[in-house]
Amino acid sequence: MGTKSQSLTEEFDAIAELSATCVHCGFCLAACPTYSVTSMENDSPRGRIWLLAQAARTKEVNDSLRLHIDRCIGCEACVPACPSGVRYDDLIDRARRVVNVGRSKRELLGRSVVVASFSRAQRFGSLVPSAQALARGVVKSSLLRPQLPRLPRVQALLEQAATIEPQRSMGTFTSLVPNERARVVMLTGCIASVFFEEVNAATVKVLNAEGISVIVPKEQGCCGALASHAGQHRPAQRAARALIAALDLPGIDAVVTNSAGCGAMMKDYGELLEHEIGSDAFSGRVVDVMEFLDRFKSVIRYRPMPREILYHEPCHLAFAQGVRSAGPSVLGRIPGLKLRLTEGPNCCGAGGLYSATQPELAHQVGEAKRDAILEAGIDLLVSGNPGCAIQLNSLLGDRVNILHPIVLLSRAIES
Amino acid sequence: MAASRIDILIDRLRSSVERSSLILEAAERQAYSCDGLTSHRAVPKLVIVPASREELIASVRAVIDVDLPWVARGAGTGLSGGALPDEEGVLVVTSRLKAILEVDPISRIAVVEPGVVNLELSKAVLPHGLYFAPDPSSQIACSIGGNVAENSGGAHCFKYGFTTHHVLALELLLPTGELLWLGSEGMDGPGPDLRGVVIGSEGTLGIVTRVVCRLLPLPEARRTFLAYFDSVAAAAEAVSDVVSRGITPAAIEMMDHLAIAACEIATGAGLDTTAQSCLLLELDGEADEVAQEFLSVRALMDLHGSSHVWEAANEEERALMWLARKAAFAAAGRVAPAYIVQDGVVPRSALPRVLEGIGRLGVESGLSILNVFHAGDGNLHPLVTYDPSIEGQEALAEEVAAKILTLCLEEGGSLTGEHGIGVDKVCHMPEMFTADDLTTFERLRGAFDPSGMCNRGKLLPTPRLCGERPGRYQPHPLEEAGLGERW
Ligand SMILES: Cc1cc2nc3c(=O)[nH]c(=O)nc-3n(C[C@H](O)[C@H](O)[C@H](O)COP(=O)(O)OP(=O)(O)OC[C@H]3O[C@@H](n4cnc5c(N)ncnc54)[C@H](O)[C@@H]3O)c2cc1C
Ligand code: SF4
Ligand code: SF4
Repeated sequence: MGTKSQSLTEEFDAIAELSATCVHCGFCLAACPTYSVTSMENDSPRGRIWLLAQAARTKEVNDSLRLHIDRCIGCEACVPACPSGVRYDDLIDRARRVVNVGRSKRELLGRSVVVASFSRAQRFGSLVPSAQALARGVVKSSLLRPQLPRLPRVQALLEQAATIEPQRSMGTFTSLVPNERARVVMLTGCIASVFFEEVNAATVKVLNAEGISVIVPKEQGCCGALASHAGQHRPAQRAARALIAALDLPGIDAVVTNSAGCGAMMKDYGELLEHEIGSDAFSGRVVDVMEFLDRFKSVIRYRPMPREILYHEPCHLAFAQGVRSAGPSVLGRIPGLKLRLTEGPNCCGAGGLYSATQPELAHQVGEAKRDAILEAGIDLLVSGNPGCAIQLNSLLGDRVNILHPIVLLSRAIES
Repeated sequence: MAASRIDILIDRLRSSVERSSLILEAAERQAYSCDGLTSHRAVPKLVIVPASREELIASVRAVIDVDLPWVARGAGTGLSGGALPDEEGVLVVTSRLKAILEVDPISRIAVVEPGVVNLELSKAVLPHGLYFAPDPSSQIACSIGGNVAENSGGAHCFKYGFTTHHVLALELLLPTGELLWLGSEGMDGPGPDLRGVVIGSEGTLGIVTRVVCRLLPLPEARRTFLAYFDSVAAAAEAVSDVVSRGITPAAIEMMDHLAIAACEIATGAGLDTTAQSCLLLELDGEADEVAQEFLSVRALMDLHGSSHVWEAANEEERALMWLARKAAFAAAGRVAPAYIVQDGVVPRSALPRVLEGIGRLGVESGLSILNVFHAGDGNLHPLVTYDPSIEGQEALAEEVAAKILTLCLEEGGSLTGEHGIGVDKVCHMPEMFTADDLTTFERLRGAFDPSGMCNRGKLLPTPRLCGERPGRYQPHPLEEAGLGERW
């Protein structure tokens, strides 16, 4: 108990300091997906920072704070939008931990069941149906009722998952190329490996075609992002340590991921593990697959694809990792391909488990995104994050085809 | 007393507006306790965020009915405390009223709700080759209703004027509950220009419920460039020279060394942080004319010793330059935890002297002062930075800011160029206006708001307000002159 309140005091002090850099200019409002749909100050970065500053001053967490921190997607679009350099990314991590203090036991338990059901999908059976069954079970359990008042939303997500061909997880895999230009280890990702195996296969194919060897260790767990988003510090730390142990192989040049959400988390391990030995070095080796490909002069011959596609920037790539030009630049290697960005706030509302914990707001944010996409009138969209792909897929149905950029690249390779 | 009236009000509102339009929770109301002037804070008894124009009208009428003080708020980016809530009253926020109701590209007008964000309007009419000219640096966030209330300008107001030149008509809900249209869809309607009276009245004459905006066609050509100088004075002289030769650039913005550094840290735009000052110039209009003006202006920059010039090679570079300039105020947050931004206006010829004076005040007080301003019309924005956690610094900063204003007034300038009086400068009004002027203003205000409940205590000095600044006592000039007393 003593250490708990001590660490809480530390969190409050840090929050006070971080929020003091906000000058209340409002420049972040337009970037925030939740403010865009509700137009309420408390659903904006500026409002949340105010609530947090207030909490830090009074050393008290009230329900309003908890509500509005829970309603934050964590997309971090407000970070680059802020001229004053407010580190909202750091603030929201702390805020999520702080608001768990005083949350009812019942609610806490419910949240961890949701986290566990998703993040262990792979280990529990490697197959979509089992992940689905587990999640359904979770949804049905009375424990979660208060948190998931809108079952249909979660079910939609799960049904969506089921429409994607269930495939087995990749298993151990080493694909060395002669005269390799680099050697990398690949994260399979817990949701991605179950729902989107094609993405992993395509990643290996494109990397290999560029002369890059790929190693995929069998035992990989969740990167810890889901736990971290739920403010579960210890479980997130445990996941991080386990993943470092699994992926930090000798002689590799990079840890490659095709999931923007996982990439953002792994690049933050240094922070999450309080810079314990090896954590910063590991984070430094993490790269998004598009970011990595962008570093090499391409040796691949791509077939021309004379058409326009929509490019969705996953928040966790653009804002959390600051990787913005790499995706378009790599896709630009496909002759004739033209990219267009959608108008309006960037976020699709997926945000890890956000669509499960805040179904209503996630749906509103999603609808705004859907309308912007449909307005563009283009039927193919690429997104470098599995979470976004699931969300967008369920929003758009078969009106717009959704692919991971790496899949588009792999399909465009001339055989 | 007030509490019970609030209860009656809430009760009535429950049946006439959506539940989500009322913010009752104390903690949630807190988030509305200030605008961009964070040194003044107050928590309103109730916040209403109407979901529609009908809700707005119904709820404000309900507030008027129970005789509670009320304040309008747009996006809360104001810098003079105009949207500072009344502790005993209600705050009415227009942020959800963000519909662009009509765009007529032929007559070049748009009818908008007051909560529409300035930049959103320009974006929406871009496909028609049009834009809304007033472009305050806060345009990514501020509302058109707020622009109307503050008669906001922007970097381009030197050539294109202020909000009042681009708003043809507006619908106003008076503090008496009556709803009326002011102005006309043409430039020159009959009768006295009440539209003009309301624009710039800082939310004291009622709440604007719809606005008819005039749109301009995008210029045929544009050239934007940055000219760096070794001193602030040299840049100021270059500005005077450009203008005195009859050239009207669309914008002439100036930043001093500290401001350049802060903007560069904030945006990474590529500014030269070794320069002592820089001018951001934009020329626009017909291609030939722009080409010619460009040559003359370039020559003048050289003449005044500009060390080098960066011309925007394309729209992206132009956007970067403006991004850096528009980030200036907030970027001050990079060099200090808090700041007070002033908004004095001085004749262009006095610029070098005033800047020197500001420099001196900075040295004397030990506070860093960043200068960034609309040089074309002599509208200064010194940012006095301070650290609120250091005892006494906030007061010191306020003192320095006040001295800067006095400096402007001594040079024959004005208290505010575009940010308004609000609560921030209300106590300085008697320095600029005579008692007769103030009485006239008071009577005008009374004609719109006989009960004095609409944004009370703002814009016009009252001994109560000026004597009761939270925390510190500041004698009001009227008190000092023996004309008023505290109550
Ligand atoms: C970083 C930064 C840069 C800025 N740059 C500029 C600049 O270049 N030029 C400039 O002119 N200003 C500038 N400002 C000041 C501010 O953005 C403008 O005054 C803006 O017009 C305020 O709009 P708002 O919607 O935020 O209004 P608020 O701050 O919410 O309110 C301002 C005033 O308008 C009243 N009001 C709001 N809506 C209505 C309505 N519907 N009817 C009646 N009254 C209403 C309020 O009562 C208040 O008195 C800047 C501010 C910041 C933070
Ligand atoms: S992280 Fe995203 S949702 Fe949260 S405040 Fe920032 S912009 Fe809004
Ligand atoms: S942009 Fe930054 S400084 Fe401005 S209100 Fe948002 S968080 Fe605060």
